[in-house]
Amino acid sequence: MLPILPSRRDRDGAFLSYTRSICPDCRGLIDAHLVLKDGQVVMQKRCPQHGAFEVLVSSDAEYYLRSLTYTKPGTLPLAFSTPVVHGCPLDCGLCEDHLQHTCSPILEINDKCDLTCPVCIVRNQQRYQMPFEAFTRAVDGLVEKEGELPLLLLSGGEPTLHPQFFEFCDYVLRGPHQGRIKRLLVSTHGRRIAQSPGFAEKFKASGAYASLQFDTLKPGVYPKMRGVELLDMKLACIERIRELDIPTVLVPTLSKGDNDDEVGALIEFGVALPQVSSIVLQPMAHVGDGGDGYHRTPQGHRLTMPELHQLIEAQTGWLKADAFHPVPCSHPTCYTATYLFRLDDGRYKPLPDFVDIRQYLDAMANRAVMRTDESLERMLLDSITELWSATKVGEDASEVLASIKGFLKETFSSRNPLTPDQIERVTEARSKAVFIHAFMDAWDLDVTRLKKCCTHYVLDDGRLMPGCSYNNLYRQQDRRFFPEARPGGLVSIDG
Amino acid sequence: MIPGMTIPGTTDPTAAAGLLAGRRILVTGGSGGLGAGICGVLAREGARVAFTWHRDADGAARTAAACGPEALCIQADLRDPAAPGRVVEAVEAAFGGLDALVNNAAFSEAVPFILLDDAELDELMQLNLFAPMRLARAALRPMIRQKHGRIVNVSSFVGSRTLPGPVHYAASKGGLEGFTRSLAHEAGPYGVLVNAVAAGIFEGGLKHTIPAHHQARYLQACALGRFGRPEECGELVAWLCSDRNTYTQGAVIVQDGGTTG
Repeated sequence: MLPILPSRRDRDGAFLSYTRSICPDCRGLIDAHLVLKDGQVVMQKRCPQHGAFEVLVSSDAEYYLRSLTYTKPGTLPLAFSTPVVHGCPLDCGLCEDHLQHTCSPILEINDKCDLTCPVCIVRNQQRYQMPFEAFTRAVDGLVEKEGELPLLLLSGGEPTLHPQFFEFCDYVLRGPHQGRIKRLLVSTHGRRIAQSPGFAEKFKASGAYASLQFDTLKPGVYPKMRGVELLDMKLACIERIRELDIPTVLVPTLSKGDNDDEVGALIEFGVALPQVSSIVLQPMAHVGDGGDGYHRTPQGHRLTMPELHQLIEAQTGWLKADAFHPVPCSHPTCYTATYLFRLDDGRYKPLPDFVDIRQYLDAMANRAVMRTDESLERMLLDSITELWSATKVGEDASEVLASIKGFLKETFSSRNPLTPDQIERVTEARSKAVFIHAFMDAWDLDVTRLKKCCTHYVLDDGRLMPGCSYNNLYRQQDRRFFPEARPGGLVSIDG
Repeated sequence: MIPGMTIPGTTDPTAAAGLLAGRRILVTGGSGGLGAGICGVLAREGARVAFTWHRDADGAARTAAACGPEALCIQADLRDPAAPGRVVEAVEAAFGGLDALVNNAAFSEAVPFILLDDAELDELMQLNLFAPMRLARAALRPMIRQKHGRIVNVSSFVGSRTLPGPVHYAASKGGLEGFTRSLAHEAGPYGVLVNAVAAGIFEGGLKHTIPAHHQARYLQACALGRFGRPEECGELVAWLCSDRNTYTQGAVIVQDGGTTG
């Protein structure tokens, strides 16, 4: 009788690609594989000390693979800050190997906040306030590296609590770089706008946009996600925004099982509010003093891009999943977006419904804000021609054509002379953007995504840190927030 | 002496008082942009300036102030076929005659041709082409009578070049240039010189109707590397309106800083 030989088993998924990540326990740098498994994409990695980890990266493998097929060359910044010595992500700042310039810079001006949100992705120590000189140094360094920027986001902490907050706004919008930074956004919980009429009026006068954390329209959700019920305050803030006509970006953090049933309602809310220019949905990342411990099993609480697209379609009915496309300036798993165009009858229609998708993606490449340039013009002209000449036109075609014509008459007419800035405002008023921005945590951190990151923290020493690199690896060494921190604490376990 | 001419070598009686001393000139669309720049130079050169305006009362007030106390400021909607005749009559009544007409008023908007309906085509042609023709017809009567006159039509470099630009606007300017050439033949024998200036992109002109990337391309191609200033157009128009111009007739002079030449 022949001996029974042990039979070999297949692995439980098909290897897709190799990358590097970190151990969720010790943060050491380790190898990772992206694997196709059960129609999904998962990251599998193994730490020599802490064992194997697996986390969901995309709930739809087909979408994931398709999303990788469109890519554009990144744009070089005018200057880098750090040389390549150890390789990604150990040389951040940006290093010369970073593949994208800074589209969305974030400048943290304090780490003081009057909330302790369980979903917070930073580590507020309640002691740092950026001195004015450090602020100007950081802004100067940013402009030196980018020349012009579509936006700058002031963050914290709660930036509106900084005693020199309005001086900072003035420096950005009316200081020596006036006109170089097109929009100043302020990441805020909204309490000062809601509760202090004087502050709200000064905020409006400052010219800044409120980037308002706004997670829910229902009572009972804020206590879990933000530690205290904030619904009345948030709605009061919205009223103030409406009254004073404060330009606003609505920023819901989405946590699976907490408020993912509201994503459609939140989009509808933002679309209906004239002051809201864009809605930025941020799936929960398990990083920071709050986020770290929000779920006992973070790998079981992932809200990935395709899943969110499907939720939006299911909950709105009109905003289809296929209207969302990766923003080519970053990695497709980090940012997707759709732009909505307001028709003359007040309805919003996703641009991808009536423009060529390739042109659309080209027009959106390497930028965070829609503007009237050559690629947008080409896209609109081709779209007009296609819609006009089509033998079978959809029910909305004539409405779309009339609305585009109305938009052009509003923007480029000798009867209504507008400056380039005014044209940008009209364009913004005629459109809204819905972004989904997925930050990474120690579970799904992927250096492939980091390398093309365009959301960068601005440090006062001149460095620009890819957002997820900073949050997961560098923040705790930042002596502004952690004066006792030892520099150079990053290690490569298997390298 | 042939009407409309000075004899070379003779003393120019207007030299001290200005190129256009005492000349009565009507400019359409004078409340802003090129029109305001033209009015300013004509007034500086001693002309008595009348100008039309339609919507921009503040701009009209500024131009009037720049042109001095004799300036005649006429609000008119030149799309109305009856308006040009009334405007010319008003200038003749106020100034006792008319020596030169500058057809400057025009309208443009960057809408693709296929989206334009008949009413929009008609509206633009009424202002950009038919109003200059009606004004010229009305102005020719006193000019022919006095055997002296100048008509300057402000056209655009898109009128005779293959450039991106609103199709109906380009067509109106092409028509204006054909009108200029043929009218020069018909009116020349009566001492009336008819010319056109094909303007490039000027600050304060129709520049704001041109998307920024097209403006950037213009600047790249422009030999002088900048947009024109309205008063620079005014200098050329002033010369064309003056008695110094004796042999430029039916010409379309491109003034674009060396962009398309």
